[in-house]
Amino acid sequence: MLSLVMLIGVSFAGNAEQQKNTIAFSDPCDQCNYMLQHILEGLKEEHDMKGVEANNIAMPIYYTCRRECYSQ
Amino acid sequence: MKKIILILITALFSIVLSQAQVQSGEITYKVKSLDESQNKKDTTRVKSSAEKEAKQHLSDIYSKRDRAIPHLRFDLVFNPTEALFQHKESIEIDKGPDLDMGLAFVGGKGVFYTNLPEDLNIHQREYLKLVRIQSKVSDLKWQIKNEFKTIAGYQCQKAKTNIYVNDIQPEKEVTVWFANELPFSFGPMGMVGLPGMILGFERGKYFIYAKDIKLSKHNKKITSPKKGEKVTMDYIKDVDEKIKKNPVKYYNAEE
Repeated sequence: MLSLVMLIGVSFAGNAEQQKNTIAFSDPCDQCNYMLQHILEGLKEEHDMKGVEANNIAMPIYYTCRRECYSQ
Repeated sequence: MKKIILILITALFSIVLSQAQVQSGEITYKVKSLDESQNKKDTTRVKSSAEKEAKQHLSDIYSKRDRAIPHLRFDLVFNPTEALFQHKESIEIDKGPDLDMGLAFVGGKGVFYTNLPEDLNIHQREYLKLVRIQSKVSDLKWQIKNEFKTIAGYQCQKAKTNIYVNDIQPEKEVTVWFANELPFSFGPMGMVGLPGMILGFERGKYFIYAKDIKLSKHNKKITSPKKGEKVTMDYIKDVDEKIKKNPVKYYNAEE
């Protein structure tokens, strides 16, 4: 499962420009949005991480949501 | 008794004299975790596959960080008026741990330059674009404490100041340890302006500490970073706000 997530993450990252232009991201569902904010704030508050880095680490939650939640 | 006092005075005088002759130096810093509990497994009950994957994703990130931290090395080169601090590249572990991940957690991305006569601190890094974040050395207001500990063989004194970390922690208190015996006002990651070299920096869950110190009687030329748009900390604060409002737009933007 982890490999799958990473594979998707890599595949998205590899087409960063393309995805920006061709995929219209929706806001994540309430549950995933909660997780995203939770992770973002945790990285910034508990780990003193800068905004850009925290965002890049937390954002794959959007992909998980899009695949797992919005597709259903 | 008189003999002992004479020996002590002579030793102290020779130390002061030898440090006075130092014109430049190079310090290697390493990093260790201050929080032993951070590696404990999360036993929270997961409610959905999405949440499970989120936890798995974070767990993977933390594993990468933990593998990288022991390999991180930073280099501080200095002369009496200028200093340059940056991550030390290592060819040997290029294909090993994800050092970039370690740097993201420790806060050590980019190049930190200090010029004391110009009261100038520069942090050159990617933050949506290549920037040189400028601030004044004198902006750091230090509180020196009467606590001591030894780092790399030097007695170090405790000091505290507040720094901007991110939008959630705009005034975070941090602790450093400086050596009065090394009369240079520099240190890691832009922590400068004390009467002695900073050999230890407690940043969040990590301790950046001096491992190897080389002093030289020859002056060393240090050059400031030239590339990147000049900005102030307001730019970083502005970007943090933008990311907060629209994280998707800034995902995987230039790190």
